[in-house]
Amino acid sequence: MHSDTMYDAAMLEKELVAASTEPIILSLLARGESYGYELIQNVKTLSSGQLAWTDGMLYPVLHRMEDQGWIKSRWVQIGNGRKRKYYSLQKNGRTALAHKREQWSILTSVFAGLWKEQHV
Amino acid sequence: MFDLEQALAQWRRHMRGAGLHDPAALDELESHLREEIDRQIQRGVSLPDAFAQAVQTLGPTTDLQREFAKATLTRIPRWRLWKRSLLRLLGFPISIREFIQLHPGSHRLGPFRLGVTVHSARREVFRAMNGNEAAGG
Repeated sequence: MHSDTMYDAAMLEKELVAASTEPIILSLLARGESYGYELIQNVKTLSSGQLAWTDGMLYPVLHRMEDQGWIKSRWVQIGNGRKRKYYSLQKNGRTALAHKREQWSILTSVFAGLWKEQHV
Repeated sequence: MFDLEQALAQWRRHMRGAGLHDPAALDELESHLREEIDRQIQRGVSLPDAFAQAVQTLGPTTDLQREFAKATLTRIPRWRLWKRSLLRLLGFPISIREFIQLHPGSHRLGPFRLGVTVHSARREVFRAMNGNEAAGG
């Protein structure tokens, strides 16, 4: 996910978007089962539109995460002959999420400390 | 008169033509398109415009094809990727199946362009191997 096309300019920097995509997906799925379109809308809402994925690029990431055994998918018929592919978090995904949370927590506490000092 | 089903069928043909052949992946992208079209229509956008905008939000087709190809490559065990890369470095050709998967229509290329494509396929494997550790490639 280092592709430049995953991101919109003038938003969150692409490297940050790339690094945060998997933890965000894992965190959203920790709340419950969801599908690609809903995940994208949730991210837009949560970030007030400042973190924008190029929609289609989410799907290869989801597939890769499924291959890693972090998440599992199933097709659900939603009526009118339409269907959605729902993803849910697996045990390995919870472990991965815990690890990623730990890493991001280190970073946020480092910045919190640094920026607190600067304001004293 | 705009026919959404026809437009979606045409879109699928276009995606297949660009190298995205996995029917399940296309189903999932189509499901996404339908959700986005619904949303646009609720906002008062006309059906043809809603379709065009929804397709646009998916991103460039070539990028999608590339990312899906990379995701597929990660399903190959790492030791086999290394083995293949080593063989390729020694001058062995890439397997025809993998080659066509990555570059559909490549069998119609002439010898020179075939060589170029083999080279780029090799680079894609390397990129997939090196990029996967950090945020999934």
